[in-house]
Amino acid sequence: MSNRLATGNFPGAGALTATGKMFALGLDVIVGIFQRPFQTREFIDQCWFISRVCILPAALVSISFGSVISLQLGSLIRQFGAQSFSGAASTLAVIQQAAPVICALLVAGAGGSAICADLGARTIREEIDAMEVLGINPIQRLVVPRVLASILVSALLFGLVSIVGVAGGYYFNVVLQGVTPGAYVQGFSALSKPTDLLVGFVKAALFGLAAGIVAAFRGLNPAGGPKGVGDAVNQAVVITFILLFAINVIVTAVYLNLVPPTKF
Amino acid sequence: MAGVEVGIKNLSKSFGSSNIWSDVTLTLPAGEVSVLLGPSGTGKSVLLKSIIGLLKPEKGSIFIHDTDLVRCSESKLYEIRKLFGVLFQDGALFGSMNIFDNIAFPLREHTKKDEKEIADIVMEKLDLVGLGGAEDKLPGEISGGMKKRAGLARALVLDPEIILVDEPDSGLDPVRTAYLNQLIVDLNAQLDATILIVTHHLGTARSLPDNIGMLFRKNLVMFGPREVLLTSEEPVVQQFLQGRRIGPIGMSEEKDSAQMEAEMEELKKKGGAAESEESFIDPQLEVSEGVPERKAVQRRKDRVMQVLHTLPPKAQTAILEQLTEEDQERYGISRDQDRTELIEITRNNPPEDADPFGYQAMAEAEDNSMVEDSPAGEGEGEGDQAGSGDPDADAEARKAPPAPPESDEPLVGVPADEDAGGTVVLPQAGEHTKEGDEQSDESGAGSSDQQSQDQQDSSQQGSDQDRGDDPPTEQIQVVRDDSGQDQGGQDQGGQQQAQDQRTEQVAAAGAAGAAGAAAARSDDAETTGRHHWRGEDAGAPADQGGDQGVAGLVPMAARPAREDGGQQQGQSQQSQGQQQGQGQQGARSGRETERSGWAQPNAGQDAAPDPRGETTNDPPAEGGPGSPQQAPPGGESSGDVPRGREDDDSKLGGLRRMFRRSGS
Repeated sequence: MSNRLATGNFPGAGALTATGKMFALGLDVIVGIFQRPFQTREFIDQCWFISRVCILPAALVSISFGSVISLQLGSLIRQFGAQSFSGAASTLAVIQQAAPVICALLVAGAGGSAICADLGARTIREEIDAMEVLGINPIQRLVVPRVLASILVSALLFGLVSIVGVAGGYYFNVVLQGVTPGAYVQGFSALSKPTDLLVGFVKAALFGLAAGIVAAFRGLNPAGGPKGVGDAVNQAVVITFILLFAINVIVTAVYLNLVPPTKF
Repeated sequence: MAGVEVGIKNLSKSFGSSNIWSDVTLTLPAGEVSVLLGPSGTGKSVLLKSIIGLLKPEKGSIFIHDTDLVRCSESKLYEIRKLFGVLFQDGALFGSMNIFDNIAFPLREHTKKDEKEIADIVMEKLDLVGLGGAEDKLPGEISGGMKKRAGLARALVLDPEIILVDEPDSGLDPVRTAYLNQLIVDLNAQLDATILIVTHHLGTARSLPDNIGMLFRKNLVMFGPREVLLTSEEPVVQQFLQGRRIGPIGMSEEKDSAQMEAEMEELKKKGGAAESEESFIDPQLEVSEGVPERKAVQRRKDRVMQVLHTLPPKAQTAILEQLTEEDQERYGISRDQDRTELIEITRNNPPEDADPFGYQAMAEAEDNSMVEDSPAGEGEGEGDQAGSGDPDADAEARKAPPAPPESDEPLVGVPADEDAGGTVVLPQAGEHTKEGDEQSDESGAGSSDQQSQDQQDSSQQGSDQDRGDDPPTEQIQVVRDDSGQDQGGQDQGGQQQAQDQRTEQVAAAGAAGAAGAAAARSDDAETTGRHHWRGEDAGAPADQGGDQGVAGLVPMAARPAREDGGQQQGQSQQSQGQQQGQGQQGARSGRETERSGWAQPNAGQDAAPDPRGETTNDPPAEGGPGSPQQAPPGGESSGDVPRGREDDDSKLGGLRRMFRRSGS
């Protein structure tokens, strides 16, 4: 874990090196997951920590997200006279796209930045070195629980965001736009399938993994000094966002090919 | 549990394109305390981190228990690291845990102890570092010094075999620093752990360690027993250990040569002000009461005595001076012998129990490696650096014109001992400004000059002791007369070793001491030793009145008494004859010989050896006579006034030559 990335002699070499190192860290983490003793306590602490910083913003964001989709879609769909499908549409949108992305943004922005700042501060204060010197692998001891926690919390958050998003859509469609509740609820299964829920969970977990690893990688390799940590956090969030949307595109494309959308 | 030896070989480390240091070779002897010095930014901490495997050097190897830390697997590395206790610069405590949990952390991670046991151990360590009562505080809530001590407690909690300490004394008040140093010594006694300390603190560096190393200009300048560094003539080392501005170390990494020259000029104008700050050896810290003795002390002595013949003369002297009577018995030496002989003895007859941890083998290996490591151009003279293997810095640091072997080096010597009833011969290369005249007269004198020399020595050495014992002037006169006759008897100096030797033997037979100056060779040793004895027996009285105590550093190789000179003119003439056959060099070589051959009896009483006093007295001696080539014959007095760099350099040159010989 050198503090400086080796620089190659062609443009973009640094970025490639960093990418490679991040990938290596990812592999280390996967190996570390199976090493004993598992840091249960640290894992639970981190789960609680990430949940704490994510739940409320996630809920708030998903309410507004669900309602925006509902409002837009509802007013649009009414013109076709297909209000009864508004429930199906908003559910599809929320579960397949909105919820995982909301999870991702929050896990990256709230959880990931916290992880990155924490590890970065420990690194510049030589705590990580000290830990290594005490014969403890900081990846196994610190990074693995954090990455697992961000995966778990992200997946669980997906459930929360889905429910809150759909509930928000329900409120706006049924209460404000006059869609009948029965039609709305019946529409849930019209376009969406249980596999949507499953892929939503998978996406959320992948986002959590990416957010955790990026945050850990940037946190363990700050440029030096407190400012380096600040920069690292910043970069971690931005990198995670970009990565998340890329993952989202790929997973969605794969999913749509594997499980074709319902035909009428 | 004994400490672990850490062997570092040819280590190089760079960050990107900037080289931090290269070719660092040293061995941290098991169970001893070593200190690593160096100006800021020379990579001391990087070396420390490399030793624990936090940084991967590009080249070289670090061996601990036969495992190469540079190349071993990650899991092996973590195993090895459990042997380490490391104190980082600011303690590196875990900010999220309180002090107690911080210190308990390694125990909880690595042991199956229950909380009760853990609490006991933690509280014990906390008390050890004086932090009892602070265990509930978070690292953010305590001061820097407390953090440091808490970090030390954490480093100690697993009873490590190797303790690495990064600047334990920065940001700590002097009193706490003293306590901390004492703590480290006591810990070493209790755990017998190998300890490496990186520091800037001169007090620590001077009083704490068994061994000292110094990093400068991307290289390890020196690493060796404390005596070697503390008496070193190496400008960098001297400058650092004395905290001067004058020297190769500048505000930025290096001084430019112009600035340095200007400084040297200034120094010369001042008449060698640097002398006043001659190196001295502080007494080493002792364990505090109630703590068991440090096993490392004896082991180290054994080890150092094994490699004694490879060390620079000053260091040899310092080491021999520090030997107690038991030590002398142990190593089968006595204060009556001169140094060359001593060195031979220690080299060939290690005490039977002297090698409990394979040190003998190690010493030999070290010895060999020294020879091997020395750049070809410099010969084995590098040996004194314990394999620093840094040709550039070395060469640069001591741009010494190779001095002829017969230069001022004291070749033979015996530590003065407290209760010395007999002779104590200490190397005394020095001269005084006041000696100047006499010395110029002495040029041709062999044995007889001895007397005047002795006198000078006594006056100079004993300055703080007893000056009343100087031989009367007439004696000197007599001596000088003799010397005239003896003149031819001088050997030609070390350029022609073989001749020297023969000469010496002749001289020895006649007890008319023309001793081969530079000849710190084994062959010569005995001869010179005998000289010395005879001198004692026959003519010592004059000197024996002298109550010089230990301070009696003496011209050595041949220490004929003036009577000898008188009685055995015939013999000296004989030797003269022989030497004429070999072609003499006249007065100059004679003077050289004489100088190198100072010896002085110690009629000494119980003056407790005060190493510091001694060594401080001795500088003029050591720095003294310039290489014969530089000093015009008879120009001694002028030679010693601006004594400065060249003298040191020439001395180094002589040293080097000497090593080449003894190594061969």
